[in-house]
Amino acid sequence: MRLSSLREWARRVWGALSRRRTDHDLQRELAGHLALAEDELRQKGHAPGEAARLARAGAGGRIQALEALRDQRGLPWLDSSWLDLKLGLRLLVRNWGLTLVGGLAMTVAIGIAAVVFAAFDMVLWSPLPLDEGDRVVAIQVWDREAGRRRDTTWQDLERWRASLQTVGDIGAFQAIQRNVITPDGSVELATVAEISPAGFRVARVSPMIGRPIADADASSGAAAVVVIGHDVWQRRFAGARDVIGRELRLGKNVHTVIGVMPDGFQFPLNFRYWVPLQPAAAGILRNTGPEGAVFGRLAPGATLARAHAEVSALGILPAFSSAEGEGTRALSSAPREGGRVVPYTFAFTGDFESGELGLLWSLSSLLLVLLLLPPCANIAILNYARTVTRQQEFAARHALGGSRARIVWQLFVEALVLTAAAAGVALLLLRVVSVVVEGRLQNIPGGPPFWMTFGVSYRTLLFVAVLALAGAAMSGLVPALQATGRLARLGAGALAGRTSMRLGATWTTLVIAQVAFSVGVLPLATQLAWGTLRTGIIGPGFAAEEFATARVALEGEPSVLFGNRQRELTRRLLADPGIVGVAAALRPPGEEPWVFVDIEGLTVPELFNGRPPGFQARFNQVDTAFFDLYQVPGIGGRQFTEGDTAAEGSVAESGAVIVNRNFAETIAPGGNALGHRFRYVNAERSEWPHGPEADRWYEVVGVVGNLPVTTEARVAYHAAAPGQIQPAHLQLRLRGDSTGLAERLREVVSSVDPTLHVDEVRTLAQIYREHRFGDNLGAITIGALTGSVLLLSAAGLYALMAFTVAQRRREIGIRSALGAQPGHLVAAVFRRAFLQIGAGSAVGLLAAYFVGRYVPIEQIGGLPIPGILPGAVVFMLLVGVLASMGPARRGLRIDPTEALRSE
Amino acid sequence: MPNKEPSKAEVLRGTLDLMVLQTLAALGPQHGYAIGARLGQVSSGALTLNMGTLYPGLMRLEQQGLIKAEWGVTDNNRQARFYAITTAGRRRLAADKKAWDQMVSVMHTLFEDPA
Repeated sequence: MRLSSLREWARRVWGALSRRRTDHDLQRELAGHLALAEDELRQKGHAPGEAARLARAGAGGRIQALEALRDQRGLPWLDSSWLDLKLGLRLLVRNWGLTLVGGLAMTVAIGIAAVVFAAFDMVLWSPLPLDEGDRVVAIQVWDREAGRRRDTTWQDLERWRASLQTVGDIGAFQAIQRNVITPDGSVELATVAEISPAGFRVARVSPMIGRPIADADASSGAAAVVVIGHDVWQRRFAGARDVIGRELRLGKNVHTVIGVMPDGFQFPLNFRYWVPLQPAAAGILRNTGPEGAVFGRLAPGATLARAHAEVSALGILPAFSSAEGEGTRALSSAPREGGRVVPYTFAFTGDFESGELGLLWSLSSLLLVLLLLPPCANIAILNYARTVTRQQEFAARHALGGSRARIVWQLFVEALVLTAAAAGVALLLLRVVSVVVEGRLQNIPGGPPFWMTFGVSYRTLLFVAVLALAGAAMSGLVPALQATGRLARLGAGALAGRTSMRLGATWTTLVIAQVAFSVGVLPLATQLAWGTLRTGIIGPGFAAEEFATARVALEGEPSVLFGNRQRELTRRLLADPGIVGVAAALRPPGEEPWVFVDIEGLTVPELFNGRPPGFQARFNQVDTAFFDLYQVPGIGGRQFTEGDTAAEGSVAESGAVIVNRNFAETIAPGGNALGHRFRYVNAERSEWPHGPEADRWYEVVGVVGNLPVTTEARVAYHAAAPGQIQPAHLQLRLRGDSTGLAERLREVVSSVDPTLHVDEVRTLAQIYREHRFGDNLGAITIGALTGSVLLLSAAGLYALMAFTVAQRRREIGIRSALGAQPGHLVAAVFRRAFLQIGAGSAVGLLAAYFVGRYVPIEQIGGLPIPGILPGAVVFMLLVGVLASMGPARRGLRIDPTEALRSE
Repeated sequence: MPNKEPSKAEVLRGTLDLMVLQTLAALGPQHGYAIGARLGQVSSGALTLNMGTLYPGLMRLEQQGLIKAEWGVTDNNRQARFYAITTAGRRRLAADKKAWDQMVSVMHTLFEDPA
């Protein structure tokens, strides 16, 4: 295309938008033309009247010329679309009912899709904000068979460093926890990066003061040094310029500050303290994500594919396999494991093959678009009903030469106005959610990686725009095509007002589908929402603010010392006047890990996706003081004794287990569960190093009441001696409120041992609030989605019913003129409505039955509500009656002579 | 639009631009009526452009940046929009003229040499 043509189009777009040459200006020029022609003709001797007539004849039609100029000035379709847009807006205001109902449902659907998309976008596509951040990579060990990342040996790291040509500055980091202790005694638990000196070269960021970690700092025997972040420098050293050389105590070691990183620097994840990573000849480096990773930077000219090929070809050493399920590390040739190179940020997204993530992303985007289907189908029905009432308008336009495409385009633009408005509100919602989520993310210990920001990216904007277009296509185009399909055939008949539109089988099917969907899905969604919101509404059921928990661990690997420390800590805490009782558990109540159990002699009921591996349950490890602390009554059997806990540091433990009432009810409904046995299936031993063993039979020796917070779950308790669980969650019963508890705890803990860490100090009330945030968000989402679909279903049903009855008005009128009983006529109207709703309800009930049978409503967090299914049917019937009533009454009021005359 | 003779505008689309540019290059700034009159004159009345053809054509050339326009007053004191050729217009004129000459020469040879 020539440059001048481009310029012409640009000016035409500009002309369409700006109206730079007004109609007045164009008319003035044409009038000038005629005047000049007239002047000339007069000069040639024509009389003034004659001259004017000849001038007009020679110049052609002025109106046509003006039209041609207007078309050339802008873009004709843009101009007409602008008109459609204005018309669409006017219709939105006029049909405010449709706008409100349809807009709400569309906003909910687009909003949910946008939030999910934005979350994906944050995790997958947030760029690494470093110089040439896209060239920073992670080198991982990938277990192809298990589809999992594995840890890396130090030897492999050394080999990669020595031999890779395509990746330079290879290093690693390991996240460790350290108590940061200042001379005034204040203690703060911080996550510290043990990092190779190469890390600072990879990031290409220099300290603002001092120097980064050098190779010499990482050699064994070197003095302990630390590089600190900007905010640590401000907070702990008041921004002193002479900070270099000052001391900072991390756990038991005193480190010398050698550098301060600039504000915002948190590489490799979200750190504010960096210490050298010491070589450990036989060591294993964590390399599976936030806990640690091997990184490097692509060499100049190298590509990710080449780097990956080189690392794959190099292979990994026949190394210490870290396969799960084994207590000891076995030497294996491990041919199934190999090296791989991935973009750095990819290393923190989970166990995915590099192609999988893109596929997953595409699939979920597609699914998110499908989320629009229910609201769109309903809006389509409403649009269709409205379109049919505008039949005369379209017929007139068609008769005047408006093409079908033109009319369909107009209806599409009208629908687009609604979906675009909904998309706008959805984006506002997304903005609100992003602010809330950002706030929440900051409160998470450690926080998200520094490159992830939850916000509205251009990809999200684009996605929302696509959603708006897709929504308009689904809700506007389909009914438009159907409604205008008969235009040509209707012709003058439509103009005369004799429309013969009928709702065919498609729409009858739609009514039935509407009702079926509402009856089938509504109860499930309501129960789910109730299950999650119940705790929030009626509270956890006990004085949760009187209980607090704190996670305690000893620096480094689990150690036998921990038992002594824990006993000493318990003794000192009990001496605190603000603390009434102390117990220890693997997890606080309500946060126990989920597992599957195989109960001897019982078969698990089959679910929709096959038979689950076992009954779902939770387990916890608790000390002998636990049940007393929470005042859980014993129902049967015995309590734990010292004999149930194994010798300190030993993995072996007794097979005695105490279960809660729910668990006992599952084992022996209404009977005695004592003496029954169960075992864990699929227990991930690696995740719970001191947890219960897989495939070992445990015997129920006692039954206790349900803890108020875990009323819905089956819980199995195992006995644990001090030191056996590490890290342990201390359970504290408080006297008075919890103000200053965290500081007091830290002081007591560091006075016992400076390498003892304490974090996650929360009251149980806080824990439940945190849980509720996520639960409530989920429940609100489900509620909003269901509510909007229901509202739409009711509106759609109403529109359809009203429409069908309205269609039969004439028939009703004629029959009434011929002497039919009003009662019979009304019955005829309702019979059809009830038939459709009845058919829909039957399908819906069938669906609900199967859903209820194969979806474990309680296991996915729902609570059964009695009578909800009939309730849903009654609700839909009510909607049908309401929808038919008005039109039926109108039909009866028709003057029979009128009805006959119009025929 | 089936079964309809091509309009004058369509026939002229390719050549009208060239004629207008040439007129403006030769005579200097002119208003629309004068351009139309000039084309009628040189074609001995064979080419009479109505307003619906002439003015959209002028607007198109203006949008392409080949001519520019401003309001002025004619000799007999009438308000009119005066069009003048731009540098880009002169370049386009030269190029199109060359192409036109080549085409004429090809057609000439074709018609003169029936074998």
